[in-house]
Amino acid sequence: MGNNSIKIEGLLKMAKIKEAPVDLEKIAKVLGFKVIRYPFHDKLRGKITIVDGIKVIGVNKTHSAASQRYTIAHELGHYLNGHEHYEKSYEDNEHPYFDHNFQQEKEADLFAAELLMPKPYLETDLQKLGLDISILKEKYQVSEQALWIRLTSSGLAQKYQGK
Amino acid sequence: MSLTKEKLSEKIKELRTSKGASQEELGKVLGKSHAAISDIERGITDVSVQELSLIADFFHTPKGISPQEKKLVDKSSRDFDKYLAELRKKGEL
Repeated sequence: MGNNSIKIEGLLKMAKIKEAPVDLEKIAKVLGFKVIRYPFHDKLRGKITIVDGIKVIGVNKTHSAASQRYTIAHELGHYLNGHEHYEKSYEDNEHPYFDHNFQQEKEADLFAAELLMPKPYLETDLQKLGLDISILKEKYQVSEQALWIRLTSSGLAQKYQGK
Repeated sequence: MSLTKEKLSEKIKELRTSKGASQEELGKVLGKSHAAISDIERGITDVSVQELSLIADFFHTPKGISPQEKKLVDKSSRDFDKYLAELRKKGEL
């Protein structure tokens, strides 16, 4: 997790991003990726691919804007975590916690959450706005569920509970 | 809207049910009984930061897809590769 924070801080600096919403296409561009929107099957959020040095992130254009943002961040998470099987999609598995690919998906999800909602940005906004979920989800352009997961897993929900 | 203990409890329940998971399933993740999860969801018992982290991990678990859907997903992925190849041929990538 700490490792993600360092990477994300560097990325935000490189892309000259200082506040939410994080401009993901700018970050993708800084890393040399072209973002292409495509009508994937509904169960496929997107994929990352590098062919002959051309780096592409495909995003399901039929999904919501917040979901598309999550996908770009998730795919960047695969890339920056050095995952081998970029193109693997979610599979039915009774015991996903023991599945190697599932662990990679989880790592990419954690990275995505931290990139879309950097903790220092959240701290600043929570101090200013309090725990106002409707304002925060608009500002960060994420789903309410993604916001709650980030707030609870980072401990910020409890820290700002009732403030 | 500020977050009270009750709101946090309601939210845990809402996320669990939206995922289609039972109290027993969430209980297994936390090493607690379904009755203990029920207490958490009713705001009777507090949740530690460590437990919240485990709950968040649990909500990250992807929903499975059927073998039939998997075939369609794989096809969609291959179609995208073909689309990229066409773009490259046209010099648009």
